[in-house]
Amino acid sequence: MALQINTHISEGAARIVLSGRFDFNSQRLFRSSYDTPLSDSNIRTLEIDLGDVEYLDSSALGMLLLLKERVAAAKKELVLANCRGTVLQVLEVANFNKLFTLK
Amino acid sequence: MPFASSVDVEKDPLKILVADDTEANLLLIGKFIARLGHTVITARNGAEAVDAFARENPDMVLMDVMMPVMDGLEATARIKAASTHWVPVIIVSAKSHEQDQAKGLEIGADDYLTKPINFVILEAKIKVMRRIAVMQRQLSDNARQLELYRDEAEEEQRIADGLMKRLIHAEGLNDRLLKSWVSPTRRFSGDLVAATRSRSNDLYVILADATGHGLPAALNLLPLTQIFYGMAEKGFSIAHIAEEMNHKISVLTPADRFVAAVIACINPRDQLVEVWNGGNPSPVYATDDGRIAHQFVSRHLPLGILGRDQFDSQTEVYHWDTAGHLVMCSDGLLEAENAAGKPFGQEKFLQLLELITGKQRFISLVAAVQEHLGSLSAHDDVSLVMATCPTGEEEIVFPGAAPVRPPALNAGYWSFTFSISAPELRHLDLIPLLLHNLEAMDLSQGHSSRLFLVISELYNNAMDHGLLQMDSGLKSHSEGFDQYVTLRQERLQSLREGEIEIQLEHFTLEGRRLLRIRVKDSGPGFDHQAFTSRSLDDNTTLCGRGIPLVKSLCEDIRYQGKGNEVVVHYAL
Repeated sequence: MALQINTHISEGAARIVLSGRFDFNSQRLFRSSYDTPLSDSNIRTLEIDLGDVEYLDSSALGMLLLLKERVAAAKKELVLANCRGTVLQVLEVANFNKLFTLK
Repeated sequence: MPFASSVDVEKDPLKILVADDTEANLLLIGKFIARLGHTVITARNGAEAVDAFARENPDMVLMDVMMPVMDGLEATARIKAASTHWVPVIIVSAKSHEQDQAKGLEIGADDYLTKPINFVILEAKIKVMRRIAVMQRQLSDNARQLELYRDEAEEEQRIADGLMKRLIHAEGLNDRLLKSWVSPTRRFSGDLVAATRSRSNDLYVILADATGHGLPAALNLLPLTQIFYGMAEKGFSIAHIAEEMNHKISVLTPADRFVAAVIACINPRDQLVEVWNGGNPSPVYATDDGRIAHQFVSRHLPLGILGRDQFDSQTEVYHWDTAGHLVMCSDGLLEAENAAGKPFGQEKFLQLLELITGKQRFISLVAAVQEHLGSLSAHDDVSLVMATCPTGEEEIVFPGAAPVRPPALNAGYWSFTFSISAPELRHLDLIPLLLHNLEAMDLSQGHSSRLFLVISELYNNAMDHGLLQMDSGLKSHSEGFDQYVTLRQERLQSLREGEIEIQLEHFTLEGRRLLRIRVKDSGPGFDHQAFTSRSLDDNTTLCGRGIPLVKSLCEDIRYQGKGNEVVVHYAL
């Protein structure tokens, strides 16, 4: 299933919930989902919820790296939430758990 | 040219060929068409029509079916066959002659009109045909452009392919200890598999997986090949190679591009495997008796993500006492899906390694993956490397020709001394640097390898026994080996004081060129006087100081001072 994104904003935090396949074809959608929260001065934390993601590849990891850079530049916080199953496995093999805050 | 490409194509006059055997019809139709603003050409039978078509190049044809000499259907067929571009042909037939209409369309006519001709409809059809002709021309223009682009792209790819092949040096993979299989999804592989031997004949192997696949991914890998071959051949440690690669990738590529990699160094003499794994599936040591003896888990981030200061080059060392294979693959292999969407999986991968041993191992594994995929192609590049790890490799094979011993004609005296103290000793790869200087003195490759070994052995002794106070007795059994490695690592990291001095002197004696190598460490030394020349042949009494090896390569070897200084003479 192609990537679908739902964003919820509350109390200075943007929760971006992803579901489906997070891969090379998801670039445009993913990028547009975090553009606004990034430039919103009231939002301090971006939380990417991966609980419903069924597949994650290296392009997706690359997108997360890019996001991390941009979040750092905007002096905000980034959290990856609900990483389990295949998603957690991929993140662990790449040792991304050392680079990102997982919740 | 029909349908001139002017701005208002709709208004351009057409040249229309009208073929009819009845003079009255010709006149009527001709006048009507002329009034629409078009030019008329007439023909009275099929044969005339074919000739007129060839001669006048009309934009459209109105063809009566029933004509003498050659009928309209035959004429249509001939005109269509002779046309280089699409010219609309409308056949004209009697209302009751449906057969003609059907046959006409089959033969290639584009439409039909029934008699008596309804001129309103004729005008409409002329407009339609013109519209379609414009579309047709656009299509064939596009097709021609595409062909041109495709030819250009093919040529570019062919050149890139050739360049890649030359830069990737596939010959290293032909090593007798190595078997590899790369199955890319596109023409260019986003996976890199390369191997080479160092001066001391250690086998260096790399399996790297760049984000994505195809040409962009392959391009990211090119800088790595240069670093790999350059540093491995000089004998740099894989920790340093990983460091340099990480730096290169993070500098050259954008933030979202990285390279997962496994770099391995296999030392068949000492039966050691050293691995750096960042983001790749775990390489596995599978013994000849079907056990998975060790897995090198990925403990690091892939190359190109962290800066120089945060990068961790820590490697993992494994000593094998049972012969077997070091097996590495990219995640494309483990994730390859069959028709039912099921991935090949790590479980199956390990099971196969346990089940199949010996010479069959590699081919069986490849066959299993191909069978799993069936007629499908994998979604990601698939790579597999298997390095044989034998026991009992006593003989050292030196890369390069046997050393040439030229007469000492114009050889002069030179000397240099390196003195390094504790902080630098912790992370410097001294030997490649030393050899680099030696190479400036123009040595043959045969000497290069031997000297590398001699200087390495003497230096490692100075370090391990002189400064780190290691007990080689630990190395005699497998578990002890891991302890040895860990302990050595710890002691090296916490080394605060100590010094090693290496002096190289080149001179001639009785017509022979000699290199005097002296290594001195700041350690306590040992009671060397108690040892006779015979015990120098025995590796164990000197606690594995690798002296027999050095002795076999040099003219002589002598300990001095407290035993913390050793001098050898090597004949060039």
